[in-house]
Amino acid sequence: MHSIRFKVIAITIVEILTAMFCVYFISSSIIHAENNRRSVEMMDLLVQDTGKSFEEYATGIARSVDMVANLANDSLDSVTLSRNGAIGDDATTERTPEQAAQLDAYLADFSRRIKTEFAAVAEHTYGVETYYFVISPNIGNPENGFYYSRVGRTGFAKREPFDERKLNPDDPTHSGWYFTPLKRGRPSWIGPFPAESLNELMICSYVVPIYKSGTFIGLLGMDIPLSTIEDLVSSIHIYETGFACLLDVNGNVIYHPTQELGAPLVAPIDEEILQREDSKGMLIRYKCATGEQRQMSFTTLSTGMKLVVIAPTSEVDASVTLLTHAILPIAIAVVLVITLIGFLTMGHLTGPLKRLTAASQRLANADYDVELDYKGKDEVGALTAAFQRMRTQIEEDFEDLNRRAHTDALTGLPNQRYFFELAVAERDRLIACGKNPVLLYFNLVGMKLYNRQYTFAEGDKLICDVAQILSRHFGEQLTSHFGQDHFAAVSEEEHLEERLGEVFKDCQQANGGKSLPLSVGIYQHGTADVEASVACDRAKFACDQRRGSYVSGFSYFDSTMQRQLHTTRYVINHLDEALENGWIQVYYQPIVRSVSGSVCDEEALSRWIDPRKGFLSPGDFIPALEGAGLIYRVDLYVLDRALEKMRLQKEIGLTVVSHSINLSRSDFDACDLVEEIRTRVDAAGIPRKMITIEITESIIGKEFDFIKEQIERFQGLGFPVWIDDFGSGYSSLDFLQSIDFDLVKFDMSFLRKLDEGQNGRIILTELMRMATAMGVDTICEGVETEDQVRFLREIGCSKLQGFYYCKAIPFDEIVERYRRGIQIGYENPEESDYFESIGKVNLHDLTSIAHEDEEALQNAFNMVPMTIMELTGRTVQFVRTNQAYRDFLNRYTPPEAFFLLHARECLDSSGSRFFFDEKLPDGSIARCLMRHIGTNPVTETPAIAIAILSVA
Amino acid sequence: MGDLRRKAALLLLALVFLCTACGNQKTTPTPTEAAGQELDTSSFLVAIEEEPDTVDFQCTSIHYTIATNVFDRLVEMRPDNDGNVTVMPSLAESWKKSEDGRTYTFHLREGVTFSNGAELTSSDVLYSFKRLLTHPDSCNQDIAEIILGASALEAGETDELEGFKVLDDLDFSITLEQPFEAFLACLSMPGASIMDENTTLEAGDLFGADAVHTIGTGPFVLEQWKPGKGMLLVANDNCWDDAPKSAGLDLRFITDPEEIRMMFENGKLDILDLDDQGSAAEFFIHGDIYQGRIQEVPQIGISYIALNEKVAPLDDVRVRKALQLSLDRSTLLDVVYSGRGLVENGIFSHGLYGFDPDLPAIPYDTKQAQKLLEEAGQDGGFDLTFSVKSSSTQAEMTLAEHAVEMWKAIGVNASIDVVNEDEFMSLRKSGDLACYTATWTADYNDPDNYIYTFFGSPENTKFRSLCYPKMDVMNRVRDARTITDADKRLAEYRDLERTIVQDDAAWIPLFSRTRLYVTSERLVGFQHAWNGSVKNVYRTMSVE
Repeated sequence: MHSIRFKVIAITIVEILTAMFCVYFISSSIIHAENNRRSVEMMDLLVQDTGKSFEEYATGIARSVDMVANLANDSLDSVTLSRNGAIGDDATTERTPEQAAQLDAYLADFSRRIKTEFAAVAEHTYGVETYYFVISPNIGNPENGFYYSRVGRTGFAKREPFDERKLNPDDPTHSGWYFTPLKRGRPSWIGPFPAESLNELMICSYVVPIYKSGTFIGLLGMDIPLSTIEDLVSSIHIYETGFACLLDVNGNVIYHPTQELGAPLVAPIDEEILQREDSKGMLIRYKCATGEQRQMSFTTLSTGMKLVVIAPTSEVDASVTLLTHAILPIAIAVVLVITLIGFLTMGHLTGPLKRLTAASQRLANADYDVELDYKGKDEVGALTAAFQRMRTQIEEDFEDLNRRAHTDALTGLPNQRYFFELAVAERDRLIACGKNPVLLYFNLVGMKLYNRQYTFAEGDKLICDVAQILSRHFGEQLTSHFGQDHFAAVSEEEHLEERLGEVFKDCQQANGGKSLPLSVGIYQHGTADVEASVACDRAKFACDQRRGSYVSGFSYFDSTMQRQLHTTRYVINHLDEALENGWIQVYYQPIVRSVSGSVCDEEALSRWIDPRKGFLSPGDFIPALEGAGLIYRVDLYVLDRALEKMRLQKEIGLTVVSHSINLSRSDFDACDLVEEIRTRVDAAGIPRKMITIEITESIIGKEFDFIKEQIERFQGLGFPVWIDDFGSGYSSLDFLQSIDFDLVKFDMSFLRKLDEGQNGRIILTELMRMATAMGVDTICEGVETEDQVRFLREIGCSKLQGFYYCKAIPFDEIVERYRRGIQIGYENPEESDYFESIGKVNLHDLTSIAHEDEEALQNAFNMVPMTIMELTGRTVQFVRTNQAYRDFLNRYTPPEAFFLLHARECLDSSGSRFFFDEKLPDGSIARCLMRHIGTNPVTETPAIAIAILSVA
Repeated sequence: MGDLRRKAALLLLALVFLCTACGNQKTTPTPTEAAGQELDTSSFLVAIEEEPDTVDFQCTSIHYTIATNVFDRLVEMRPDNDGNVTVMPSLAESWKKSEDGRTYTFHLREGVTFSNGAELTSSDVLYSFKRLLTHPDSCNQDIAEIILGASALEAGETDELEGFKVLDDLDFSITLEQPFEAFLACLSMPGASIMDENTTLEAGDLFGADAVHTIGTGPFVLEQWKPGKGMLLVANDNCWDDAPKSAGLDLRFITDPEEIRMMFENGKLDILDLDDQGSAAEFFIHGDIYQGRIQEVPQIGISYIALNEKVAPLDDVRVRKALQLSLDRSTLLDVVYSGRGLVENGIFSHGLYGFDPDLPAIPYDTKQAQKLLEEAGQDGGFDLTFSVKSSSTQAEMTLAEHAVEMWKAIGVNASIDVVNEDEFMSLRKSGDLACYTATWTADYNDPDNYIYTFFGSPENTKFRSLCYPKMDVMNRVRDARTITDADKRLAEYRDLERTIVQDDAAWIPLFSRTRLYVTSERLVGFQHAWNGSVKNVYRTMSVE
């Protein structure tokens, strides 16, 4: 891994180098172009400048000659010339001697005048070597011309005038000065050439031919020494070794510091370029013979000569080369400096980052003591600050988490898990001290009701108060709140009960006296090495044994409990086995119609017949399975078996009556029980009304609304729903009022108390009346005696269940008993509704057949002789009679067909109620009420209820 | 971190920009000023022009370069198939002359447009003539004065030109006061150029003074007139008579002969007129450099010496005759113009319509001259002032010198008097110069152009300081114009010529010249006008 410092510096260096390269190439090309432009400009300037000074010099010479020539031209007398045959149509060389003489005389005079002018001009013209006037031999005697050359510094010496005839036209070097201007017909610069008359001195001549009226008269000229020009040219220096040279019109060297004179300039340059007037603005470069690169500029002088300035390219480019070469060390220096600066600044920047990284690693190892002191205001500073905040936050959160993990949020006491650790430590400590440790489990009795009564807030206050009380007595670290109203504590056995008494006393004052009794389970550890959780279980078990007690108290975990606990474990652990192997069996107890004495229902009940432990009491295994939430499996098993039984029963031709099954509260948690049962019942092809759901009162009490909804769902689907164990709890009447049960099954405790006094009978009678009034069918269970049967029939209990008739037996036995004919016969299900109607009439209560507000009853009394009879053809069979009716029969001995006539009337009239008066044998008149209460659908026997309202 | 990187990148960027910015500053060439507006004159023909005060051809008698190159006339003088210079159609496609020779009916060429796109119509022609007659600065009105009603219009008596009838857009007729056989030839004169009525009216005083407003139908369009520098003429690609050969014409206002010569020698001038070069002309004529590029152009014109008959003893025909005879005109031509020309003996020079080849030569006879002087009683000699205007060429000066020398030979006390040009002109026009020399170049190819100018009326002779006194002769000159029979008219002119020159010795004919021009190496299509002028035929020339 490369550090950020390394990366940043590397990137920076790369960037700088890239930039440097870009800058280098761009700038070097710019500099090159600029340098080229400048060098060209400079050399042009030099060459132009030199050219100009030469030009001034040459122009001065030319102007001098021109001036004299113009003067000569103007002053030439054309009249004289013409008259003497020099010009005009008479111009001829054949002049008369007179003409020739006159002409010579004129020309001599003319020459003198011109000489004077010329001399004056030459005196004032710089660099003049010679000046001369040559007379054309065609015009006159050349002797009359003149020729002067410079002598020393003093002046000009007269020399012999030139004579065209003495010049050799075939020697252009020496005679070109004469013939060239003549040939060209105009003033010309000639040369340089070696002057014969000046000891071959190299000179340049400016020569002007003079014409008059188209006739060549002669020449005027001036010479300048080449050395003057050479001096001018050789004084030129440019760059280190740059020089100037001079070429003639043909490009041959006139002056060159190294090259031979007269030869063409050794420079491989396009001739076309050299033909130009000048090289202004042109970059001319070439490689010379020595291999050296050179640059040149030139200009053409008015003499036709070319002035050339040449410089080695290396010198021209020297500054550029220097500059571009300088860039490399500069680049290196810059990179070094930047690297150094970068290293330092990055060190400054990455230092805190490094510390931050180290801190992060320590933090990752749960070391919260890291402290960072970097306070910069940059990103790293912000990051450091954020890290610090994060560290603090993590630390706090962790502490909080720790606390939460070990303590209960509500009370602040150690939670269950933590308590187990503490409890084990304390237990070991106590044992080590030779003391007996105990584990206590606390439970507030009726916490649910308390919450409902005082709200949860009050409940929580109570719990907190109790928690404080417990922690005060047993120590904060030795007391735990397990949740809800459950607490635990570990303590020593010594003076335990006294201390508990004090606890109970304190608890009475908890939450301002709005307290609850405290139930305590005690597990004596002794030296038994059981886990804390097991110890807690046992203490709880002991505590649970006090269920139903509504005063504070405690109970010890004893051997019975140990066994029960054992059974519970066993049941839970072996349920699968039991279901698979058929250890769980379904027994059916018949429910008998009180009016017909036939079986109208059967209750399916589960039995656990264990191959090892024998018959397990439902009171043992059902609560155990309920506690484990497994009872639904048994209950659904029972349903399946019952449905199977009904099918089999039908197959073997036995009448099938409806079966009731029992449900536990926890069944509803296991699945959508209503739907589950519907599915199974429908799948079995059994009408839903044939399966009755029995729900114990205790189930309802726990979650009233939920259960009510489930009951209504069952009923909505067509399942009848019975309330079981009615009267065993506290809120029985509440439920009856709120839930529309199809039947009330009175708890067997009612019958047990029946013989204990008159109150029992009254209660049962009134309850029965109440149920009947509400249109709810009734069952009493636990019927054991004939007296009980008679009483129950009397008060209108429509169905009876108990050992009096039959205990719960397996299906096989039912079949066997039928086979043997000892089994109570089944009621035809089609008669069920009919019998129900009959059974519901309470013979102890007139209102069961009449409305209380009816006027006819105003004078009557409640306890009237009443009977229910069936009319079979002409015979009357009394189905039910009450004591008063029996008394009435004994007293008045009415004839057998006493009510027959009226009964017929009653049946014939569509109205169901029928009042009539009947004469009794003793002559008194009995006022009667008759009502057709139903017709047996099988026998078509109508049943009529009759009440003797009064006898007068 | 990101900050750092960004900062570094920014810094680098800034550096690079700074470098390139500096570089730019140094390397970006400064834009040349208004380069786009300059015409590309590299393919233009370059010639020298004297800067005119106006190019309004109706108001100048000398500056006709614009008139002849930017404008057209109804007719032009051009050689016909036989090489005879005659009147040829130009803007007028055809015409018809009435029996009585007074009415000309013209038909304009169809589809001719001015360079601004305006179409040429008869009313433009009418406008041009009316303006010629009525413009206060007009100096060429004589062209149109012969038209019926011209004098009334000139006098401001009417706004109409009676003799000009617009028939339709392309047809019109011109009726003259009296027959004038040279009328068509007259219409070829630059002063008779046709202008666009609307454009010229709009331009007002700017016509002829501002390039934009000087709009014609000719081969060139006056594009720019840079006072003191020159004029740029660009080819009129839409010209009815074919566009000129060159893309344009670059006229430079340069008067210094030396500068002109330098320009030419440096290849910056396409035509060099050696007349202007004095003795330097010799440098072009001699030698081998310019041989082949020297254009010899015979000039239809005549150099003469005027003798004022008002000035005694020049009123004596014998004196005038003596002066005629004492001049060796052949030598004069040799000495002054190196013999380039032809000695003339009458008024109508070689090449002019009506030139009389049978005219007897005026001999060089000093004895006869002296004899005549004797007869006139002037054998003792008399003073004669030969006036030379200050702007004369060296040739003219030499001519004067030689003439004076020759006259001295017969005892005339002649002397040269160099007179300031303005004074010279005013003296001449008032008829007060005793003797001077000048050259007349033909305006149109008709003898009338010569004889009427000098001897058409007392005013005309006075204007030329001739002061010819014979009214009968002058009337004949005037009347000759109306002779509709060409032969008769020619015969009359020839007779008049003999009378005036031979009998009356009213002026001394000298010679007609052959002018020399040197052309640049790149110039092709050099031509000259019928009368020897170069300036009105730029359209045929081009540069390579």
